[in-house]
Amino acid sequence: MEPTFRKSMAWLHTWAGVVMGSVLFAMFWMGTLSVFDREIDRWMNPGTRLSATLAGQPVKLDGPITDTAMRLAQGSSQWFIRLPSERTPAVELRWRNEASKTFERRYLHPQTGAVLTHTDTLAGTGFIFPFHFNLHIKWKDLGYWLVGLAGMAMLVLVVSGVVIHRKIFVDFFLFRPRKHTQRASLDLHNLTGVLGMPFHFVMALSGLIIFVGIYWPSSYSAAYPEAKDVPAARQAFNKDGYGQYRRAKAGEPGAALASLDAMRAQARQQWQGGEANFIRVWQPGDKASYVELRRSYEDTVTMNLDQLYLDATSGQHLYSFTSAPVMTVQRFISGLHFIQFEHWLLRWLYFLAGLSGCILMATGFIFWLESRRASHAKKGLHGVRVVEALSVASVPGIMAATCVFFIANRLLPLDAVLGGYDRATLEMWAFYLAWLAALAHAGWRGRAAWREQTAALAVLAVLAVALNWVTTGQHLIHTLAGGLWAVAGMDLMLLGAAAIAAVTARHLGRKVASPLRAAAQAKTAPLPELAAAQQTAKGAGNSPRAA
Amino acid sequence: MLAACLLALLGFAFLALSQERHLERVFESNRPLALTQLAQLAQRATGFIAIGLALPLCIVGEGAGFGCLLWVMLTVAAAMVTALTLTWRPNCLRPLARAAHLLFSFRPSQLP
Repeated sequence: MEPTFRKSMAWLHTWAGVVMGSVLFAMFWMGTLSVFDREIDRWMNPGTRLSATLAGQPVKLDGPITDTAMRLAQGSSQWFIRLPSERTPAVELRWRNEASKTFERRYLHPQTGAVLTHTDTLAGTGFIFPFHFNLHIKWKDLGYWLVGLAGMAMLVLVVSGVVIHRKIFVDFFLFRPRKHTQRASLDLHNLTGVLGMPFHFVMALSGLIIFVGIYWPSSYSAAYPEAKDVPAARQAFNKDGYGQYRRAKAGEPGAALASLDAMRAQARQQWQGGEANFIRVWQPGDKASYVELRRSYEDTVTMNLDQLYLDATSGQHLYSFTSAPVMTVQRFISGLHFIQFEHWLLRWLYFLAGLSGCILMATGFIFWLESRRASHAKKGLHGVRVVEALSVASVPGIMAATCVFFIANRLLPLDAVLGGYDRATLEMWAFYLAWLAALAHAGWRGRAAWREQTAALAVLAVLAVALNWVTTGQHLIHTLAGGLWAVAGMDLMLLGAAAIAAVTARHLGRKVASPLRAAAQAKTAPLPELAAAQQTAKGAGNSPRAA
Repeated sequence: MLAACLLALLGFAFLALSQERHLERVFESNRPLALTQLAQLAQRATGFIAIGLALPLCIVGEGAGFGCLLWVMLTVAAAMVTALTLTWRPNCLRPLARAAHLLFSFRPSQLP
C-alpha cells in the first residue's frame, strides 16, 4: 500500500491506464467513428450513395420493393426492411440465408425498388461499430469482457484522476503547449479529462449498463428465480423487458402477403403518428406468417421498444408491446450512448467529445513515457520500450490501419475472394494486418515510430480520398454540389486528418522531443482548407526523412 | 440555440477571466493584474448564471430530452473552446475582459 490515499490513487491511475490504455483508445477511436457509421457505410458502399433529395419523398412498400424482397428472400424464414432516413437514403433489405445461417443484405432504391449495386463490405455499421463493443473477438464473449473491463477501468480512471488532480479549478482552462512535452501532455490530459469528464463518465457507465446482462448473467436468474437455468431466465427477461411475439409455423402455404403500407398506417394510428421504420415478415408464404413493425426513434433520445405484430395475410392484430417504466429508463440511457436520433449538432458534439477522449488516452500514454524515459534508461528497465511500442500501435497505428481498411475497400474488386475468404472478410484482414504491421514497426523503430506512423497516416488518408475519386468518379466538388454530404464529409474528414497528421509529422521531425503537441494538434486544430490539406499531406508523403 | 451556445461560451469566458493567470495572458501583461475579491466573485457568479441560463434555452428550443443532453454537450464544448482560445488566441478575449472589468471592477482601471 502507498502511504496516502492520493498516492495509492495515483498508483491505481497509472497502472489501470497503462494496462487498459490500448483497449480504451481502440474503443474510443472506433466509438467516435461509429458516430458517423452510416455515413461511412455510404462511402464504402458506393451503390447506396443516393441523392439526399430522395430522403424526403414518401416510400411505398407495396409493389416493386415487396416484390424484390420476396424474390431475393425466397425460401428464407424471415426478411426485414429498414425504411430510408436522412442518413440512409436507400431501403435496407436483409434476409436469413438458411444454408449459411447468416443474414444477407441488399439496398434497394426507395422509389423504383431496384437492387442497388452491392459492395460486399461490413463498413461502419458492420465492422467499426461492433469493434467498439466487442473488438470482433467472439470466442467465449472475450471481446465483451475486455470491453467491459476497459469500461470499468475508465470509471476507475475518472474517479482516481479526480482524486490525484491537485488543482482542478485553478488549472481548469490551462494548456501550455510551448512547455516541455511532459508538462504540455499533462496539461492536455487534465484539460480533456476534466472538461470532458461528464461525457466520458456517462459513456463508460451507459456502455456498462447496456451489456449488464453479459457482465452479470446472474441478474437474469435473480429476476426470474423460477427459470431452470440462466438462458431460460434471460429469455423470460427479454420477453418481458424487450417484448417478443412468436407464432409457430403452420407448415402449409398461406394466402398472399397483405398490404405492408396498410399495416404501416395501422401502426401510425396506434402510435399516434409515430412511424414504423422496421418491418419484418416472419415465415413468409406460410399460413401462420406474421409481420412485426417497430417504431422509429429518430426524434427522441429514448430508444422506444414499441412493437406491433399483425397477421401477414389478414392484417389482424396479434400483439403489441410498450416497455415498462424501468425499461424506458434503460432505453433512455441506451439512447444516450447509441445516438440513433437525428440531431446533427448533437452528433457533431459527440464526435468532438469522442476525439477529446482519444486525446485523453494518447496524452496519458505520452505523459507516462516522458516522465519515465530518462529514469528507465538509467536503471536499464525496458518498460518505456514496451509501452512506447504499444502506444504507437494503439494511437497512430490504429488510425493508419483504419485508413488501410478504407483503402482495401476501394481497391478490392467487387467479386474478390482469396483463400476462401469473401470480400468483406478480406477488408477486415487488411485492417488487422496493417495494425499488426504498425505494432511490429513500432517495436522495431521505437520513438521514431511516432513520426513515421503519423506520416504514414497522412499519406494513407489522402490515398483513400484519391481512390474514392478514381473508383467512383465522385470527387469533392461533385459530392458537395450534388448534396452527397455523407461522402463529402468522409472525404473532408480524411483530408483534415491527413493535414493534421502531416503537420504533426513535420513537427515531430523538427523537434523530436514533442510527440504530444502532435497529438494535441492532431485532434483539436480546425479543419483546414482542402487545397492546403492536400498540399501539406503530399509534401509529407514525398519527403520521408529518417529519424 | 445560437443564444444558448453564446451564453455558454460567455459564461466560461467570464469564469476564465476571473482568474488572474488568464487575465494576464489575455493582456500579455508582465505585471500582475489582480481583481478585487468582490469583482472576482461577481464575475464568477455571472459566469455560472450565464451557463445555467443556457439550460432553459436548450430545453425551450429542443425539448426536455434533447435540451438537457445538448446543454451538457454544449458546456463541454464551450469550456474546451475557451481553454483553446486562451492557449492560441488569447487576444480575442481582450474586449470581453474589458467589458467584464467595466461591469465588475470597483477600483480605478488597472488594465493596460
